[in-house]
Amino acid sequence: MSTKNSHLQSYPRFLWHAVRLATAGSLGFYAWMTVLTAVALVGLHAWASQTASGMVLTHMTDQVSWGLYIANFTFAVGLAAGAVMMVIPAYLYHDEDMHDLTIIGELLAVAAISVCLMFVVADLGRPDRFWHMIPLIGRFHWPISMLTWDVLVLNGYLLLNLHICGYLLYMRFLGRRANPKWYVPFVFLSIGWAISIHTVTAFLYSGLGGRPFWNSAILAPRFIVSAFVSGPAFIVAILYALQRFAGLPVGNGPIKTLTRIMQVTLPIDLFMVGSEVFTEFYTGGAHVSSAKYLYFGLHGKSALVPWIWTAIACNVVALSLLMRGDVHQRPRRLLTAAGLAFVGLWIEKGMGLIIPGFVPSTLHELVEYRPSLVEWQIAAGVWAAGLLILSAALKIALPVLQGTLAAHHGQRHDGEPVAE
Amino acid sequence: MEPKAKNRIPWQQIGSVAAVAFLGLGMAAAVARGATDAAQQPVSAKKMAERHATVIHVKPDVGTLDTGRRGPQGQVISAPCGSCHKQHSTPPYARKAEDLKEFHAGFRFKHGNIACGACHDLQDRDQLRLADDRRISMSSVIDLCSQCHGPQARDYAHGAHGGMNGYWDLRRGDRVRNVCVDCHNPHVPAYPQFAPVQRPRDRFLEAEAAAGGHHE
Amino acid sequence: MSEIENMQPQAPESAGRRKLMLGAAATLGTAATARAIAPLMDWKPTTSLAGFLQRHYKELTTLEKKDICARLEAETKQQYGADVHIADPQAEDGVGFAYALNLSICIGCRKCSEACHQENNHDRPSGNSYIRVIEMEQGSLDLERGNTTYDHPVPRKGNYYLPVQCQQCDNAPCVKVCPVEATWKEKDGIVVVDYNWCIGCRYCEAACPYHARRFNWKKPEVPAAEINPNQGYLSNRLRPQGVVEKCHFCLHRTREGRLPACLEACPTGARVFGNLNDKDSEIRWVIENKRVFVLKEELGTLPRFFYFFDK
Repeated sequence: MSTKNSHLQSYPRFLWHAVRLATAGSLGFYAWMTVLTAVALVGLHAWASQTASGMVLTHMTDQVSWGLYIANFTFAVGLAAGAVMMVIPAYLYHDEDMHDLTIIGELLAVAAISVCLMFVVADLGRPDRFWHMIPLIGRFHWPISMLTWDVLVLNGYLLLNLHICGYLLYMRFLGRRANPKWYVPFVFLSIGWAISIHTVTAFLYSGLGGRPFWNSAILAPRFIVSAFVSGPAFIVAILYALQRFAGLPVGNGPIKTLTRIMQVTLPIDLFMVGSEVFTEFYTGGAHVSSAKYLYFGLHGKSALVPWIWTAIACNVVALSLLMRGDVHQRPRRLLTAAGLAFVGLWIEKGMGLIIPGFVPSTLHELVEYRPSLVEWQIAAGVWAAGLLILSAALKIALPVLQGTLAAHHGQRHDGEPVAE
Repeated sequence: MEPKAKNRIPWQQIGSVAAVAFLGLGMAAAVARGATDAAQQPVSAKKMAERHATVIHVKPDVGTLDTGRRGPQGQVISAPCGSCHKQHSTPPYARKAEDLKEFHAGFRFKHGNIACGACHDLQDRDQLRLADDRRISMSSVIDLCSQCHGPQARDYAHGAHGGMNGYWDLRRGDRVRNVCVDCHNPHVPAYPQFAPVQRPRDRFLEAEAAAGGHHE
Repeated sequence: MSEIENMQPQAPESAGRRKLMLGAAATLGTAATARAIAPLMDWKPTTSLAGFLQRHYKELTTLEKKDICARLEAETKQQYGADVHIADPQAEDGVGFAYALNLSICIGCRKCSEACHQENNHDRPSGNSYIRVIEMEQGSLDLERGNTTYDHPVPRKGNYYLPVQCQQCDNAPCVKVCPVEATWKEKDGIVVVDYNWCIGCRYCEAACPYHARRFNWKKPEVPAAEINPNQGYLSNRLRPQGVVEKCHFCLHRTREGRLPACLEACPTGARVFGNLNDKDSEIRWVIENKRVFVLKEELGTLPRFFYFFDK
């Protein structure tokens, strides 16, 4: 059988099969997807209005020129990078339990990167000029502009993960064994690449001398560490959701590994935040204005103060819940901790990082920022679209996961039965 | 000159026509190129030698006083000093502004401790007096101010004091400069206060509290 | 066939019902999506395919630029009802512009800001301008203690005034960060923006330490009678929605040898402008003889905008 011809025929069949899988499910699944679609369409409409009437529909100003979109973008890049937290134990440390679930992390990465790209497009003043950024066709200011690095690494990461997942799912569809040479090198590449996407994103901000709140060496390490909290937190939630709604039995092993990761990275992240706070407030001077605005308010303006303290509370409570040896065996507690950490980091790394960089402005004007309804609609729509992609992708990958786990739960690699 | 045979090719004619055409085309091309690239070419030495004028504004009512009366179009009616001081006898000069009577009653003076005669020619009120007793016209008042206000005069001469309109590049155009008395009333020279314009109306930029409004 | 393909989702009769439901959902979804993107039907970012495909300014020939200016003039006539002339003056060899500001005689009247607003066809309702004047406290250079929204007679005792606009930095952060090179430094020192190339990402606005850049959050509104018809492609022509702009030292005037609008409006003559390379220029004298300083020097931006006090 000539492989080339059959791929031309079987790949479209695979795609069509994937569509069928993604659109077949329980009533609950349909309801979930319909709600997500509705929210995504609300976001799409808001974006269409924003594109036609201009970004005056947002509450961004020349003083605070980035807002909700870039805040969410920053957080979503971390989520995409953190998805690789399943890949490292599986491939670098040969964790067999984790190995079969790595596709979940990679699919999360695909969905998260899509969310990132959607937020970037939502934030562009002229999305019709998108082609100006394409290397060789437009004018690509690489390697000087960090934004061009971001374009390369984000799209590269998307393609990497699409390839890995696509290849594995396609091979499974064909009933063939996946050839390691077609995905293992890419998996290792994706580990390093995941670090790079979030480092580059951090460099976008930390390289700007005019923004002292961001111009700190600790920003990139802080980004990586917090990515390795939010990623595992979300994956834990996905695993429990798959267990609950798709009947996918998830062993103790992956949950334990992910929990152990969070138990290390969350304290480190809080330490880094504390380190920044000390450096700002102990030194004082003009550079502390942004930090003062964030934590305590400045000249009577304090819109972000409740947000950041909520974030700190969430993270501290999450930490206290997490720091127990047996937490991985207590799903409710673990999920609460994961959820709290996720929310806390979303605030701290999103609104709690981007907005204070602009307040006060470079000429020390104090202009506050509260997102407009259009911005909330677009943000909700983008996240809904991301969840749509994730849900469809997981739905497509489900048979693979079920099949693998069914085969696996017969016995472990050393022959011992697995404890449920 | 050889007689031209009927079937011989007229090389001379062709050659001269061709030469003229070539030269003409070449010149036309050069002119066209020069026209579009004029801005890129460095300015020739001849052009650099031409400098346009820096014109110092002459205040139309210098050496006059506002009578307080207004014309039919509302224009200020001013009286030159000599119109009174030459027509009839006027009191000898007062030492202080408070001593001025009649037409100059209510006259304000706040220019250090100098006497009227320091600047004014008391015999001919239409002239001004330099420190070395030379007389100058009212329109040359800048020379008088420069005597004492050297730093400002130096700055003015180097374009760092006093408003101007026109060209920075005097090879291409004129420049008009304000003269001292355009802004500084010679008797109360302190620069007056203005109401500022163009207050920033940015979205969400709240105005600071008006009086004493600065940050802690 | 693989085990996956052999897996049937559900029984045949429910499969028919399912197909119907999915068909209805797909139709509804398509209709809803069409409704959602309806506002885009009114959106016309460019009037022609040529406009959409227009290349970067630095890649255009002189003839193409002429055509583009003609097209833009026609667009302005159509959209604003005003006849304008858009020129494209080039940087002159041997010219390097610089600006100096005398803080001892600036009175904070903001007439420079007003002149900029009018000269550069800024959006009228927002009163946008490239110049921002800060009322500072005597004895301090701390911008934190400054105020830009003062509204009392000026100059006020105990304050001095600091107008800030684009510094045309020699090491401009905005030029570094632009992903599409829509902003760059010309050889006469001016940092310019190609408004037809900018994608509106506003990274330059985040990078600028001097709050010099402005974004067109909407299409600028200027009544036809108030439009300044003497325009430049890289300077004060009417900018489209969604692009970034900034002070350009009035290059449509200064490259013709004229003074910038802000300088002409200044009643006290606090502003000094000219060719720094000309040893006889006023700006050169100021730099050589006055104690000049620049803002935020520690950032290494190398501004071409200098400040000085007389005393």
